Amino acid sequence: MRFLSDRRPSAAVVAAVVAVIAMVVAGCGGSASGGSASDSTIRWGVKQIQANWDPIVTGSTGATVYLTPIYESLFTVDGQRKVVPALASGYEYNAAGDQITIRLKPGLTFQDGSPVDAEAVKFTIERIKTQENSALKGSYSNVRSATVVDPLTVRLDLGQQDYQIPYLLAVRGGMLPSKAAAQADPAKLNSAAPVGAGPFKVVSYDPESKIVLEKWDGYWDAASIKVNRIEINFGIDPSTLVAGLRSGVYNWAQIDPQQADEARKAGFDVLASVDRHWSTQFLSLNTNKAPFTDPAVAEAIRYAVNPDEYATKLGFGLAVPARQLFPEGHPAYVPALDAEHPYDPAKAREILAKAGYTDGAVSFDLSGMAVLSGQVAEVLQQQLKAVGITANITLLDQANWGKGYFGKQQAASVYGYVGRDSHVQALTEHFDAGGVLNLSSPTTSPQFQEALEAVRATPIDAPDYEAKLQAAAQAGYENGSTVALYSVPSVVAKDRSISDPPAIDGYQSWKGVQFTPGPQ
Amino acid sequence: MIKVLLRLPSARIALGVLLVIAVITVFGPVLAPYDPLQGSDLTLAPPSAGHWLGTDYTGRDVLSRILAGAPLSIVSTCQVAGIALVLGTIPGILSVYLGSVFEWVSLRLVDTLVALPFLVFAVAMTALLGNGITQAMIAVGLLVAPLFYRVARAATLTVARSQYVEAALLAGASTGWIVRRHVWGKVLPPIAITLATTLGVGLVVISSLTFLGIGVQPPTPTWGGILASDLDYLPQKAYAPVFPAVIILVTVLAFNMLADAIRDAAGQSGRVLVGARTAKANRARRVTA
Repeated sequence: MRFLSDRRPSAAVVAAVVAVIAMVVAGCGGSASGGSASDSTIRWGVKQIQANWDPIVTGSTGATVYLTPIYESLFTVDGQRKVVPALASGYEYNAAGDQITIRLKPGLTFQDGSPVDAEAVKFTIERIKTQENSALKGSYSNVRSATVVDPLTVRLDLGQQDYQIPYLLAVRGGMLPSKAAAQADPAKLNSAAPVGAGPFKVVSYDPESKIVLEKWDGYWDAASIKVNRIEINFGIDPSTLVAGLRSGVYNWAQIDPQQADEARKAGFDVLASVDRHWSTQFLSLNTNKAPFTDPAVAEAIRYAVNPDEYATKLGFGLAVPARQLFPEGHPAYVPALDAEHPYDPAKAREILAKAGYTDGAVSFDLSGMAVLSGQVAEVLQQQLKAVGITANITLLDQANWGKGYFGKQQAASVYGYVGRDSHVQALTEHFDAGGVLNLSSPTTSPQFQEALEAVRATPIDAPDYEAKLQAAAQAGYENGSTVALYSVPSVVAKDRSISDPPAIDGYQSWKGVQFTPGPQ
Repeated sequence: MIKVLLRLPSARIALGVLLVIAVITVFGPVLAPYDPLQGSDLTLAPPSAGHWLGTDYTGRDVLSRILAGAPLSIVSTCQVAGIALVLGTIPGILSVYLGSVFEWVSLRLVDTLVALPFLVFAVAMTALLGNGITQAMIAVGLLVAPLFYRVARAATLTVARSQYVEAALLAGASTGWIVRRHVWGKVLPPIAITLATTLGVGLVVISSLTFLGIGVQPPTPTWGGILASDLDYLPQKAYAPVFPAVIILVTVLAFNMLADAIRDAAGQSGRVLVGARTAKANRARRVTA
């Protein structure tokens, strides 16, 4: 204490210190914003941490957005959610619809120089079906085996008639890793050195922190890639992302809905609509556990939830209330479902009273992942309290929550999903016997099974495909145990010098994205 | 000693603040103007006459949540300090008297505990014993105990090996008498200082744990939890984290000031302080007389 009070720094020293700090700050700012447009580098900031880089281990989730620059799939989807060729040039089904033959484009290689051929496809399918940590096993359950017909032709034999396979082989579930790399060391492919046939190849990777990707000229459609480099910075504190955009550290950031306004005011483009990347938050009920063994409780809950409240409180003007698992505009969206269970707490109470429950008699543990579902669970708890249902929130870390949820041990849980390229896959995951998102698994409904069979048997370009898909979506939701809460877009704030990427459901395509030397 | 303590302005301020905190702890939930768990449509509202500290993301009154969060935060803090006090002090004093085997074993055990980082250990314990605040507090208490062990042992050693105690023993004094007459007064002040410091540390730890969402489940209000959720909404309310941060800060400061004041008032320094003040008073009296 004496030291400080006895020797006050002189005004000159203070001035010198201030000058040095000012120079350092100016220097940092200069180096960060300098050359942002000229080198065509996407500097991407995101709060999530991506640890798995093998698409087979990652599974068809929202995290594939970090993988699709590296990996290309056999097929891809366009802005109208139609399947279009990518590494494959086309496909054809046999008459029975239980065999699909896929032709590959000739002369393509992976980033390590090994060929993109029928052997590589067969190897990946076998890995999906046998590798212990494969997250795609369930999605490929109907694919029995892969057979190499010739070096550029591969045939998949299916368990039953299924016209959804091209979708399954598209973006999220169909990324193709290099056979040579996966054969040499599958763990290395997953955790250190991903190798695909996508538009960008890995330059460097710091686990859980940063991956640097560089444009790869061997990509089959390299001409449409204008971005030279992508640097993804993981694990960034969300409250610093907009500041990072402002300072030029990032020019592309995945932000939370509550930051969208701030980003917009700071002069950045905000991409946030449910026709690009969306997730629907929902409540999964386990009809094999009390109190949901009584269908009246689940029915009451459907009337007790108020989707509008989530959308306004947690969505900050960007989210939409959901009364089904697909947002409006999606081919599996069923308008009729929206009117089926309007928010009606009085009716919920009435159903409970009729079933013999007194106020507060129904109580259960409501699980959720701490990083994801805390706020949704809190709003839900209050909505249920209003009709006399007690939900005790139990938030867990990802690993422990996953054990209980995917092991079908929890009574109820809040979770979200991002849709699937295969619409039928989205439905089976929620409503089929082995569905990963069906907490009541193995329970499924005959109504859904019947509708499911019908849609699987319909080619995806058939005129009645959408009608059958919607019938399955309706049968699944009505007889299933998932209660939709709200749909929220994943929000991207980007520098205005970067042109808008194509609007494709669930797929961050970099085709045509370029830097325009506009006014800074 | 307490009389001396109360003469110090820093002690009076610290005790005043702690009294307020104690009142909040006991009556906080009753004083809360709103139900701390009930949301409303008024989300992330700024401070107003209706909501002095504004509302949070589900429209709950922040003041009510801070008041309702006091018991959990403060009681857990006392729990940590209490566990550490009992687990540390008793073996610390006994290590001087119970022979070399106990001394050696307890010292090694304490060395081991000192090596563990307590926040990380608390997180691991909750993973092991279930996500409860009591589990976390037992873990933290266990790891803070070495502090008490070392302080109690050091204080006891100086007394036990001193010539006047040996003289008293030779003169036929009983152990009980020696403890009351000589040991008690020498050991108690350092332990009181450690206790006050530990209370401050305990609150920081409990706030950190609840900040990370460990040991509590929503919608339970805690000071650390309120701080954590406020950080998610900085674009809407940049000043919101200030409220829970200030109350944590002020409480910890009060505990540390109290520890400081006890040190000044206790033992040799206390006697010097009292001596100096008495001498000053006497001088003043002499001058006026």
